[in-house]
Amino acid sequence: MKFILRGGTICDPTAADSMAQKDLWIDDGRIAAPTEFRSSDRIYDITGCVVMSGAIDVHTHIGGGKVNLARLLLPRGRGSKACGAWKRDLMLSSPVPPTWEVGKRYIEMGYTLAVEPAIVPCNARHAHLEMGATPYLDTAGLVVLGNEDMLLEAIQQGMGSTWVRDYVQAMVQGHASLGVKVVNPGGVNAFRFGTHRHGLDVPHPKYRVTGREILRSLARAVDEIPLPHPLHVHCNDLGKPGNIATTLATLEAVEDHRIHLAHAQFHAYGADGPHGFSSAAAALADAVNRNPRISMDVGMVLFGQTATLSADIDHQYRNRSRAHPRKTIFQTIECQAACGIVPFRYRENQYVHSLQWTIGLELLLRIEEPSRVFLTTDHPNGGPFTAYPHLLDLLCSYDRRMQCFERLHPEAQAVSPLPTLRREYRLEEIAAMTRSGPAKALGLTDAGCLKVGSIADVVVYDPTARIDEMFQRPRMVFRRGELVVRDGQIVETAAPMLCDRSLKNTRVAFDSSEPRPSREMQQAWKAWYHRSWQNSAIHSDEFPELLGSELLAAAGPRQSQSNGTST
Amino acid sequence: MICPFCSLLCDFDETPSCELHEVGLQRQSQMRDHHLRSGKNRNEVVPTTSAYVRGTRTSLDDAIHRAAELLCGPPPSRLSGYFACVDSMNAALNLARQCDAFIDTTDSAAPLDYYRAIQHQGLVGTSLSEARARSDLFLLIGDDRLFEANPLLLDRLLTGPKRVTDQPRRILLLGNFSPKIIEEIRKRDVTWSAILSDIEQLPESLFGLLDERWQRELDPNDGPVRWMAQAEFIVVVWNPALIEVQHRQDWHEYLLQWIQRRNRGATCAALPIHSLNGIFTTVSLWATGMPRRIRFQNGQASADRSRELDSTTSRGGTDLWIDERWKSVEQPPSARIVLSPKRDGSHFPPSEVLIPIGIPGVHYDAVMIHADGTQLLRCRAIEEDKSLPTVASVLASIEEQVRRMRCETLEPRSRALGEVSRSLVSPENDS
Repeated sequence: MKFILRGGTICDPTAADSMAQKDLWIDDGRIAAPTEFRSSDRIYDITGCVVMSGAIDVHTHIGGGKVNLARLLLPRGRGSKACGAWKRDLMLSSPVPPTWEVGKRYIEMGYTLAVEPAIVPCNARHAHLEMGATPYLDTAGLVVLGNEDMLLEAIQQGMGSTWVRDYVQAMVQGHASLGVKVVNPGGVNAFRFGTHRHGLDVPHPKYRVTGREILRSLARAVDEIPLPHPLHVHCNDLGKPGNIATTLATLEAVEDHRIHLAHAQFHAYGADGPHGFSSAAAALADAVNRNPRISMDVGMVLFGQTATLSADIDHQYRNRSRAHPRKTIFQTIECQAACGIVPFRYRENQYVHSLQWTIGLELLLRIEEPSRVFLTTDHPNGGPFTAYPHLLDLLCSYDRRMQCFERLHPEAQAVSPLPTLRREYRLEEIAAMTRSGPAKALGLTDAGCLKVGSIADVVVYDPTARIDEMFQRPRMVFRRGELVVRDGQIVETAAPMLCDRSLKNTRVAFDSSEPRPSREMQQAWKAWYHRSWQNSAIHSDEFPELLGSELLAAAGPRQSQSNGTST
Repeated sequence: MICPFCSLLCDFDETPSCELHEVGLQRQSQMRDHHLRSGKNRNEVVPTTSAYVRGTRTSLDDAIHRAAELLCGPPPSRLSGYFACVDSMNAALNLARQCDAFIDTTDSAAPLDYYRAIQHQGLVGTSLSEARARSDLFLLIGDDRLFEANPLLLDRLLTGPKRVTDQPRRILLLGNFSPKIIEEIRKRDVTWSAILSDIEQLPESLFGLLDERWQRELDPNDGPVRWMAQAEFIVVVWNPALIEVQHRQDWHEYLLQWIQRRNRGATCAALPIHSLNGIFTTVSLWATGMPRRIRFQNGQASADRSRELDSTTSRGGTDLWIDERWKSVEQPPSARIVLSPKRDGSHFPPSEVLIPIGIPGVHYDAVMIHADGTQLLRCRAIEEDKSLPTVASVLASIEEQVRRMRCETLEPRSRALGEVSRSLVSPENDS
């Protein structure tokens, strides 16, 4: 279907004439070049509105075993309580809502793509099927590597960078992923041997490899393949006062390779201040500003009830006494990974939580290029993704930021430099932070922008509304050229089915259609998991309707073809 | 290939093969022969579209139509049974939503008590490969049924070249295991001991082992006591659905609490073994946010907290009963509509509609859940048979029919309403 969005202000940081008022032509689910107008073409008059591409969440936990375990622990109907600047209608039915609610709430805000950043290899099929059941949303996943006994043993045995590269490629392809995430390199595995707080340079108690070696091996493999998304790193020492030293050492450890820092707010802490906890956001922001190979997502915290779920079992286990309510789940999984689920409540009147809130904002305000720092809450760890409009409002308005700041713990107010940061985001910067920047970081060539040929995920906003209202209730959201949301409400005549298989997960394109690890690697796999690689991996003919986007093209080893096929 | 005959989902070429695997293949072969005998040749298989309505053979379409009529009725319908694959579960949830029905598995009370225990107490868990590689002490709780349901469980726990600990493996049997099982364990290169006890008191006894006062009184040379004290990684293995004690939820809470407390000194984890029916919980959690016993109202899912489904099924049977298992049904409930791999109605109480279906992993590719719940695996069909409908396809057809019937019922009322509302909606074309 062909139609025209007439008279809107096109906000696309990748375009030379961004913020110009012009018509946007859409044909067959993609942005089209202006052609001759026919009487049959539909026109939407959006004069006075701002148009952006669909937003992208690069780090949100929406699929896989840990999410389901969290749902079991915290059943629906126990949503986070409204707190501070929160609005009740932004709350979810649970910190970990079911798939239909995730899809609905994302699309209502104009988000069209979300990335699950922690897919455990043995759990990949589950994660993809679950994300496939998330309506309205395109999804992608990052496979979690770096703590498997099989990999650590291979590095210990000196298998070399070629082996690691082939292994990484097989794992990404065999688990239908878009990239690789490493969580607390070596530390998760060391926890299983009774070691806690495993530092970056501490040898593993059994395999004698350090986190630094693991990081370097993986970062090199990711760049050599090359994968479109840099190595996605959850550093060692998450949440520890003074962990900025580890974070900066991590940035150095990958040498000249690309790196994406996950939920950076949790890794930007100093050990000064009244309670031995302070902000080190300035030091981290400085490192990012100086080095263009670094990108990051923030992982803002919001006040209220949530659930923290992480593959960093070491950190989660130490936090178990802070569980609210007092129940937790911990699981070690197939010598590959682990997870910890700890319900948690962030409080405004708590010094550390207050300061965490300011550190997230500090990072967003101090990093100069919005295309390298992405707005996330690490849903649900820092808070629900429905907080994004509220957070954008804080970024765009110094006064409203300060209104919230004044409600924080007094000691946090006294030590935080946030009041000195007077920057206010412009709409173009928001578009860079939530659209073009994430698309570039993920290697997606036809999403996150409104250039001709891009997919027609288009959001129309009313700029006269307050920023949080504007981003919470877009005037219109088009997904693949279809009007899905009008005035913040789904417009489909029928409610979405529980499982909508017409949606796609995107993954990296490789030359061969099937992952082919070496015979030795397959033998090692069988030895560790008691199952052949053939019976474990996701094959190209498996749920073809679900996996392998035909529309979202990831610029991977096999460069995207003109039609964007990436299966 | 993956063996679909129990939830261990072993690789097909595994040796030794197991009893269930052999019987499963044999049963499949018999079914195929029966299937073939019904037609003149392979391309003319009779049951392709046949089903039964009130005991009379009819077309699949007619049976689906009648099933839809039955599910359209005013009292909330009740869907239950044994599910085995993701597609069936998705289709069943969609149908339940369309019909505003109750949905649960048959015999759901036991697993539900376990899930409620987790919701109160939390969990420290592990998976099968992890346990095999790291555990030095297995506590196996229950009775022979633990191994009857998964014959190669012992192999999966004990056999494998990769170990990350140098500690020797030990097994402690807690419950009522027969000499046959003990003999099986005796054959292995593993130290073991059996405490044949009443499992009702088991969690309390385990807590006693942690209690210092008790420890002083216990003989330190006693094997099990010493093992418990020395163990670096204890794995507790049991099947929550097979635990028959008076206060099952409390029992599970107590056990989970013991596991958590044991982690203060060393590592300890639960390894609950589930049947293929565990797929219900996995899919239901992601689709509705609830593990079992779900009530749909106006398309919205909620927990059936009043246990209405439980009481109605035990009192009056169920409306739609789905059984994807390859094994015979011992006591099928009375149901108005039955979807089952069995070829005729002889196994069942009289039902109005009987639709024969294929078996996931046997007749068609299916995604099934592993016993430890950590992974979904793709089971390719052992002998693909496209003439047998899948549960998912039948349920999707019934759902479509129900949708149509409801539209027709609402048509006269909604037509006028629709015209009014259409006139209120401003045209999209604003030009």
